[in-house]
Amino acid sequence: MNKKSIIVFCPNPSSLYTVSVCELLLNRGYSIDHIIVRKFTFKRFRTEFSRDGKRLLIKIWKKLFLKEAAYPKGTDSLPLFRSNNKLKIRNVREFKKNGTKILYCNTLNDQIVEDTLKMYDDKLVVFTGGGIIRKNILDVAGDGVINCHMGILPRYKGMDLPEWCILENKTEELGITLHFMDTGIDTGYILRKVKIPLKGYTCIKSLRNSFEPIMVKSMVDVVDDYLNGRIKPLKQESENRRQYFIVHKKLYDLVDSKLKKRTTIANKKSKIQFI
Amino acid sequence: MKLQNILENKKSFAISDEYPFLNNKYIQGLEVEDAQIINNISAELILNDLGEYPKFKNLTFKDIIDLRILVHFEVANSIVYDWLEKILRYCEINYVNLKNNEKKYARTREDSIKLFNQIIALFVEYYLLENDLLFLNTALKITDIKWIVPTSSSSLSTKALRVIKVNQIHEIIRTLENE
Repeated sequence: MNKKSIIVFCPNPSSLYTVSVCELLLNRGYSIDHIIVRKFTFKRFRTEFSRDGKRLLIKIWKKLFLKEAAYPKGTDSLPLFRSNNKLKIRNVREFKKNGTKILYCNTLNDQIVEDTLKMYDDKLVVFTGGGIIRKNILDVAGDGVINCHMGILPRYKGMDLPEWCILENKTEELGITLHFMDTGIDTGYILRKVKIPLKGYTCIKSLRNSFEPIMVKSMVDVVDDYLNGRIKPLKQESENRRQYFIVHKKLYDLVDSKLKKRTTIANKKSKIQFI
Repeated sequence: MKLQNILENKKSFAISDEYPFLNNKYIQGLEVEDAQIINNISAELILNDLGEYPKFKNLTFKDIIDLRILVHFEVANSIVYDWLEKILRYCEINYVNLKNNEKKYARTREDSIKLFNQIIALFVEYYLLENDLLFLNTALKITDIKWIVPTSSSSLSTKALRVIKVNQIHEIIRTLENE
């Protein structure tokens, strides 16, 4: 097995996405050397609130307080994936018993993070959230920082990409891309693209929830395959690339109504076939 | 043909300084075909005049009007697209600053209001030309900014433009919902 050090960037200590990725990596025999956690400070709250507004409050309520209870039961979601895979760890602190060091920082671009990364010679960084990564960190990140992007690159860069695929009637383009981060926005070398078929989801929230287990599994698979030389990063084509931005509330509602209509039509068709 | 619609609706534009080009005397009284030739030549001149995209802070009211005229003449070529994409990108990336700071973008507050209502109009018109929802999305976001709503001291044309474009956005959303 490859002996590269694995360092994980984490948005908050109880991120289900982070703990699931880390626990699955441990289950596959990897050791995680360091988890670098971004602290939730007032400054961070203010910056994110001015960007996301009310959405941030909902996100905090769900991710920091409700946690697994935020997901509807019995649907394709991260809690169901965790219970199917017998994943028990709920906080990054619990990884200490496996020898993982935990570092808390104000931002992932701090000097302390840079110094921590410099401690390891041969390393791979796994990004599970926590904000934009600057050049100073990318330069000392060894092989690079792997990110799971919620859209198919190079076409779909930016934010709210599942929503944009539905708005543009390009549901065949729904999916995720595992790539190395660089100084551009979603422009780094691609490791793997995973297309996700649109099943009978009637709202964008349930569709987004269904992405999470796929993101966790794909991240772990890609780390595993990369460390064992089974995949090679490919340079992105610069043509046909577009940056998307946060969807306005009115268009967001339109996404839900489009999904509902789609499901109703599909149900009607399936009933006719059944008769 | 869009030009014909514009010429038919010339009266409604006449009240505004948003369409100085269409109020130009040599359009008046011409047959549609003749006007079309003149306007196509003029569109080409505007396009040549447009040149490279400047920084957003150097963007003028005239630039936006030129772009709107080009969009009206369905000149959706790479130069026009490049300008529009850069304006959109600036508005999106700086949206937080845009919401909180009205003085930065033009000499006076009134000029800023005028400029951004023109940008809303440009984005909505471009959406209607190319069905590009990203432009409608940004137009919606800009309409939400409180300081961009024309004040009692704003010009009549800016107030009228705002009402027309906001209604147009609502109509577009209704159409999209029923699709």
